[in-house]
Amino acid sequence: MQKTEERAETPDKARIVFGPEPAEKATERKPAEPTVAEIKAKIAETVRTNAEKHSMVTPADVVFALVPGSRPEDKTAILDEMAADERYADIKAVTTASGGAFFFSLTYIDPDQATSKSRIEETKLAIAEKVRGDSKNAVKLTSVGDLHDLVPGMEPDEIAAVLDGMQADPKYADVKSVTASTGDHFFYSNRHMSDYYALVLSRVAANDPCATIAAMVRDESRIYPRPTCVQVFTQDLFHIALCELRPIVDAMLQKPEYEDIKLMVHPKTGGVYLYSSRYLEERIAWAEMHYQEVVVPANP
Amino acid sequence: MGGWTGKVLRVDLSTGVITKESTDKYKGFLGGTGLAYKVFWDEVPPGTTAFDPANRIIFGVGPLTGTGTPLSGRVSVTSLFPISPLDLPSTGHMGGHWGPELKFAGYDSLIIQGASATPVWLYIKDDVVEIRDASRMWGNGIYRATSDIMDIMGVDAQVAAIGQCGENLVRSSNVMTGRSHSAGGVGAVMGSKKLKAIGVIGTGALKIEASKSAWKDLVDFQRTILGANSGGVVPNTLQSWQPDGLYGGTRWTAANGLYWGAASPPVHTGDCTADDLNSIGIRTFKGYADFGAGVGDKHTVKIGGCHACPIRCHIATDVPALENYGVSRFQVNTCNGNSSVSGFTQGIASRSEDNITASQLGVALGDNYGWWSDYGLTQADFGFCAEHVLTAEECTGAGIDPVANAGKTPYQIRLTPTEYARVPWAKYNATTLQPKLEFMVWITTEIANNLMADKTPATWEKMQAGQPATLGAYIAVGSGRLEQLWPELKYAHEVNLEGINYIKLGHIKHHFTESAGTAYPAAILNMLYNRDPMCHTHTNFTGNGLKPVKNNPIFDELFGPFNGELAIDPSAYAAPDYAVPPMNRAKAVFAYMCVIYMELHNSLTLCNYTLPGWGSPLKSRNYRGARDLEAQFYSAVTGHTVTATQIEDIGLRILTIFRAVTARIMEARNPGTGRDQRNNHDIMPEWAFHAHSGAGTLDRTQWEIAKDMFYDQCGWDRATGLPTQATYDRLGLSDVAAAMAAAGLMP
Repeated sequence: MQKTEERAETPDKARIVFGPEPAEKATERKPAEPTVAEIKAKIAETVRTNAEKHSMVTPADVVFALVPGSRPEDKTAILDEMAADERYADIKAVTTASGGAFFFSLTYIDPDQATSKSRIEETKLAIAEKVRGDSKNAVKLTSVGDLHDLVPGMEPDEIAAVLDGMQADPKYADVKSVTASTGDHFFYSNRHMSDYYALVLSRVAANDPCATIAAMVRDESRIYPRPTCVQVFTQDLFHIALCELRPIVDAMLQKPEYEDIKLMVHPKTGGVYLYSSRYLEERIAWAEMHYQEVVVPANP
Repeated sequence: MGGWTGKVLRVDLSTGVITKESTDKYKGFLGGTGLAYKVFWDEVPPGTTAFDPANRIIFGVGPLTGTGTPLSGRVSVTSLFPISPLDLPSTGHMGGHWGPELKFAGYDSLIIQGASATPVWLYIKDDVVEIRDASRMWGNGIYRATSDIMDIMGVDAQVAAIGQCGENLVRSSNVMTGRSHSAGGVGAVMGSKKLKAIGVIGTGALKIEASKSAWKDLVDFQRTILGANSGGVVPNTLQSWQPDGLYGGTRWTAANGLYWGAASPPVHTGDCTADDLNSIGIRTFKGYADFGAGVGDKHTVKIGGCHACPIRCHIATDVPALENYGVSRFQVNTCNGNSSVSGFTQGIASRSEDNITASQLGVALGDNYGWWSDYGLTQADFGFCAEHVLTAEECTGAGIDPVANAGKTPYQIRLTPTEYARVPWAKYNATTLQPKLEFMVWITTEIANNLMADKTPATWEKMQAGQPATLGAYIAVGSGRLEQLWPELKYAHEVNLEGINYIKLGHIKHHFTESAGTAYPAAILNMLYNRDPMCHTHTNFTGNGLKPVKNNPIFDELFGPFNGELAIDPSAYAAPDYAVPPMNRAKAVFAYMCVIYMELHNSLTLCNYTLPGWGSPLKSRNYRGARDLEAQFYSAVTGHTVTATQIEDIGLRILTIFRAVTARIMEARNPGTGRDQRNNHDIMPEWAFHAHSGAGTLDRTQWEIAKDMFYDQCGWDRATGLPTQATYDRLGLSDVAAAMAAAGLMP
């Protein structure tokens, strides 16, 4: 213990000596920060452009992002000054029932329109936040029902209209939809979840494990190409218990719609693999299985 | 210049003279293996054997070692290899922290020559270098020797030591550092020199010529390329963040729900997304990968690794059951090191509790005795000799009397009745764990003792004279020599009975024709060296998870164009014939670049167990890595700016002088053989041309074409496999060419 304390008090010895910084690097300066006047002009330009070109209100966080620094009082002070400045008399704010703030230009949008648009914008933000959070943190798709729960006061057709609007808005380009074989629609953010993973989840959501397994086996036989070890389907996302796996696979193999799906068992390891004869020759499938089961473990 | 310290330390154990020499003459060979090959060319007379005092053992580090370059903790330990029947030079490779410490002490490499009359160890603390008495350490294992030296030097010392195997001249023995990092094959050279260990403390600093900001930019750039151990750039399981849904076949094994279960508290590995630099060190969950679900994750304490390496690959385990056998419950090792000694058991299910118990007890034994399995060749031979009952046809094939020998195992034929009866076969054949482990302990101890039947120290000369040895000594002498005594073993090697996978000249295959899509390049790599080639460039690239459909275009962009020819075959080789698509120029370039970059890694030093960086985990880079990563780091550290092509030429210079050293020694041993490397050194075993499960079958015509095309890449003569005058001249090796010409070794 004493030794540890002694060592902790000894500063680390420098192990590396670096060369000098190049002259241009040493004298490199950060670009000058914008003046308050420039910030105000930029805010006004942004709000007016959104209103004129896109008939949109501008969310407060977009405006705040134009003000350097992190102190909220700096941001509100600038906006207070703008409110008192006749050059920005057209710039107005509207606050929604839930407390969201949006800015607009009276030149292009009247206050009633602004109120309506701010509600829609707020809904878009909430949907995007929900979808992104589900994709990133819960690693799950967001159902239409989840969105209804999110904005209970909004009619389904209104939500549909909002979602349509999001498709065309670059801010929400990451929010994608996927349709399950049942016809149910789901949403995900491809910023946090790959399109393929979302597709697999949508298959799982259809609650037809035979179809889910067959589709993935076909994908792998076609894309890589490789046979698929059935152990893959015990990953949590498939919601298939280990004890249920083999009966499901056996049932699938009995169905005519999956006649291209073939099963192989490695004679030495007992590993069970599936492949689609539509995309993969049996001898290649077997060779790939043998490679994974025997060759790789034997050649560390 | 940055990187180098400017001094190479030389210790002559015969005279006790310690010198510090300029590094300048070696800089054209970088360090590591390159420096060592240069030393062998300059200093070691052809005909010297591994145990002669004139042999050198060179602990080679390079300009990048110790600079903090990611993956630069490696040491190349080069010597005339005891397992080589011709005593040809080879290299063992160890990681850890020993190499960087040597650099901090002020040395670009350590050359040891001569032999002490009594046991010694080497004390290195910066400028103070002393040969000290090791009498009290001699006879003890590596753990005890390491502990003794740290008691003397302090806990900051880095120690490389041999165990009883090295002391007793077990030809397959190693030197170990940092508990789990070993350089295989060279332990007995230290033993022959009576050198027990080398302790190092360095308090100096190294110079990087680049500015701090430029260095940071370069390291950040490299982090956009690094994946996991063995080059994996996509996760092993389907994970939501991977942009294209790519997964599988890699050691990027961390995942949600997987824990280092024996850590306190358990550590969640998680998804480790490609853009999260802080989780690089967790991506490779090798405990889970190697020991299996429910076992590996349960017993993993952490994943350790080498100096300055963000990719951790050494599995630290906690297996409480080990305390029943008198060893620590905490062990650490990786890959083949975890199965070397436990390879002497049979019938234990992989990925089971029994398996990890046997494995980690084996680690405790092997890493203390300092035993090396010759990448599994020893156990393969042992399994054959212990279990394979020879048929009359096999006896005839081997040239031994079928009447007297058919129906017996090789050990039944070759061990004396007394010795055979002494072996506890009942424990070997037992169905429960306890006796199996007892057999493992017994046989490992027998190997370490390395005695003739009359209990005198075993030697090859005594065996050649027909004196009977113990089973342990027959194992300790190595496969390449034993097959000279036992024709049935030579026959088994030639036809690959029981899948021994012996290649030639005393060594086994290593990532050979079974390697996915690279049968011809892998065969070329396996023909070039004097031990298993220890090359991972090819498998790290082809096993990165991107599959040939993406890797072929990447290779074409970096090293082509190849006009549609594929460097990597598109799928595994299939039954019944396991035919391999024909050789082509892309494959020749692939083989060439794989070996060149391995030599660069072993000389700079960088880790060939993770590089090359030709792929990337980032979709934003379209999964493209870089060809010039090594050149960029070398340039930044040393201030000597080189392009990728220029540093590749340095790699070829290193490979070419190695070729010259090998040819010269072979010529001295057996006149006429050295001057035809193509037909005497670069050979394939017969079985490689016959279908064998899971590996590509070489075609004889294509194989000859493969050699032609590879020699062309190297600038070596097609007929002899020897470097040409023009190549020597181009690489600045005209002096080598002159000596080779004088020895009749020019094509």
